[in-house]
Amino acid sequence: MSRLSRFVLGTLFALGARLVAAQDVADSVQLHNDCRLAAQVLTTGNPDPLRSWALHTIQSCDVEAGAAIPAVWQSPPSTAEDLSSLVAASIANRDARILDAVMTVATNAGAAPELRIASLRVLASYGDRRVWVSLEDLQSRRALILPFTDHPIGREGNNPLPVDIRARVLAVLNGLAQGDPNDSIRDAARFLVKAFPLP
Amino acid sequence: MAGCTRDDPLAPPSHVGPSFDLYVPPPGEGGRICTGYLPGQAFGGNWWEIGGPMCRTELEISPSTAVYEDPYSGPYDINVTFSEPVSNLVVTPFSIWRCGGNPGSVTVYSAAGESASFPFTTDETECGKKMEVYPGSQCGPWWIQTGAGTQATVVDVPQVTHLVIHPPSPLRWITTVYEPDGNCGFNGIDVESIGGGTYLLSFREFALDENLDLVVSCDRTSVVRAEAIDCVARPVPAAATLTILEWRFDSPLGFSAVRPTAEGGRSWGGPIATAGTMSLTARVSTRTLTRRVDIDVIQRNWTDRPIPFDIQEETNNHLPLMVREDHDLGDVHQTLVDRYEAVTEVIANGPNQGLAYITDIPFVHQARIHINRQALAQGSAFSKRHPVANPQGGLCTRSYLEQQIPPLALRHEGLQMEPNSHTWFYQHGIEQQNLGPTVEPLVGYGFISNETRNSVSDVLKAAHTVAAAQDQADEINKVNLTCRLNYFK
Repeated sequence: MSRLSRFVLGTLFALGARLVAAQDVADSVQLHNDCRLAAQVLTTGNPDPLRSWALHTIQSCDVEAGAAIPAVWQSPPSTAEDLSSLVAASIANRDARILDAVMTVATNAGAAPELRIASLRVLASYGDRRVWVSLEDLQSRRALILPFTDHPIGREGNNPLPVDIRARVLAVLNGLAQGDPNDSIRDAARFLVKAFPLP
Repeated sequence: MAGCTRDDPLAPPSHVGPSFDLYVPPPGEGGRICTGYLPGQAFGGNWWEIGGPMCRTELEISPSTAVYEDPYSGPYDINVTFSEPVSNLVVTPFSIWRCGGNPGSVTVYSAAGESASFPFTTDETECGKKMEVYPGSQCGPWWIQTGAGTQATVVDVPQVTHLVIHPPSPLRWITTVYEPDGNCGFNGIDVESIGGGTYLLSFREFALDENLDLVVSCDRTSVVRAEAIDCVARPVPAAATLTILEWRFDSPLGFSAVRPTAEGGRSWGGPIATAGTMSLTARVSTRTLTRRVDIDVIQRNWTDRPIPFDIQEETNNHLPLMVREDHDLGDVHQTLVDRYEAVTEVIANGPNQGLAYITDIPFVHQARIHINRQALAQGSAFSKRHPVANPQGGLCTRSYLEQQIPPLALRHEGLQMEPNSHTWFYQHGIEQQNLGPTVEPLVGYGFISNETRNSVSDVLKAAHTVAAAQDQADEINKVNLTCRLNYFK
């Protein structure tokens, strides 16, 4: 290969590397801005048409998720799809603030049963990072053991979960299993307690 | 006036009845033959050879003081009660009854609460025939036979406790006897014939000792679960009467079954799902006995029984659009899913009727694979971090993301359970736990109850935990890309 050829190729690779780096910067800026907007939508409710997008986006927002997602649990979405996105976003960010919000909903007998079922799904994954409970698992009780994933789910949030998170989750589930006035919640909690994998 | 000839053209045609059958001993074998017709203990022997010690069985008779139909004070029913059930009974009326009359009947009642009636029969072979007082004399007195001989009746009902004899009819009638008048003519003289008479009751009486026994034998006492057994009862001695009172099956697990009385029968059997004791209570002649047979159940050989699996790709609804690591591109959720109902069989008949058992492994390895096709699709934020065509710094192209990575990820997760994939490791991990022998014994009444299912849940959880821990797909079977991915930071 001639000297000129090596120069040209080297220049092209260097140019490519700079282009990639530039793309990273652009993406980071885009992600940062998207996260700020998603957090605003979820905490203020405006603009409402972006709510589904925001629920999906906040899943990747390490900084904003811990503050924005609890607000959604207090003013939850109405569609099953958005509720599913809320569950996924909550599980993806293991943050103590989200845990508090989820536990509040789980133990609130006055909350909508669908929302409480969603909160139980999050609690199960918080209790064990390899557990992922689908809505189907809780509705038809088919699984004998809670489904495990091939890798741990979720990143640690800015406010990490307590070290005894597993015990706390099981305590809440046990309480619901024994005394919740709602049949579907009580049954779901019993199923989760029974099917929780061994530590 | 009839002429002095042997063949009287005015006489009725001969009447051919059943064959004469009077000396009938009690059928069967064993025990001691007794005959009774008076109150108190029966006599030993057949009625035509009474002798020896008195029998144990006593008769209580009403309204008369013998088993006797008085033709003058009758007709009336004769009631006889035995002090203990008698079998192989023969009732022999000892008398002459009118030809063509109603011979009456006997109704017997058994210890099992059953009753049956048997009409008496008569021997009418002489009915209507001319009979000579001095056989062979040409002009001696004669008459036309109007009386039929009685016959013995065998009562084929075991364990008779009492009986009622219904009388024949008529009890009295007129027979004309022709006396020679000395001029080769005859004068008719009406004489009264009487029926009724004594009824002789013969039967077999079995000793109240250990010689009477009940035997229950089963074609096998150890069966592989769900195979059938058949148990049969027989009395000892074989001629002794056997009255089935109750077949039942009791399992240490608390399952019990009693054969409905209506089914009766000397044998009982059917598929067996749980070990237990088959027992029969029956009366052998005079003794009530219970015999038991333990039935053992052997587990079916479910060692290394394959675990069924159900692996599918499912639409992703949780992997992020902002892909930051390999695991964000795909995952698999695996568990053991209940299929008890699909493999539960309920036994339809026999000692284990209504008992449910399982016919196969009652769970399925279920795997649901998710591929982040949203992030890999051209146009996504993640896709835009990659070049369209020409590799830049070894980065994967957008088309590579969309077209090449999903099948590679599916193989890594194990859609077809490829060797060393996640699903392959889990399947092998579960099968290595050899759970078949643990779940094979599960039985229940009507269905496999939650309590029964829970009894093996910890074993399943432990197996699941071990299988999950053995998953090395990420270590030894990484997705082998020919280019780099530009993850979000």
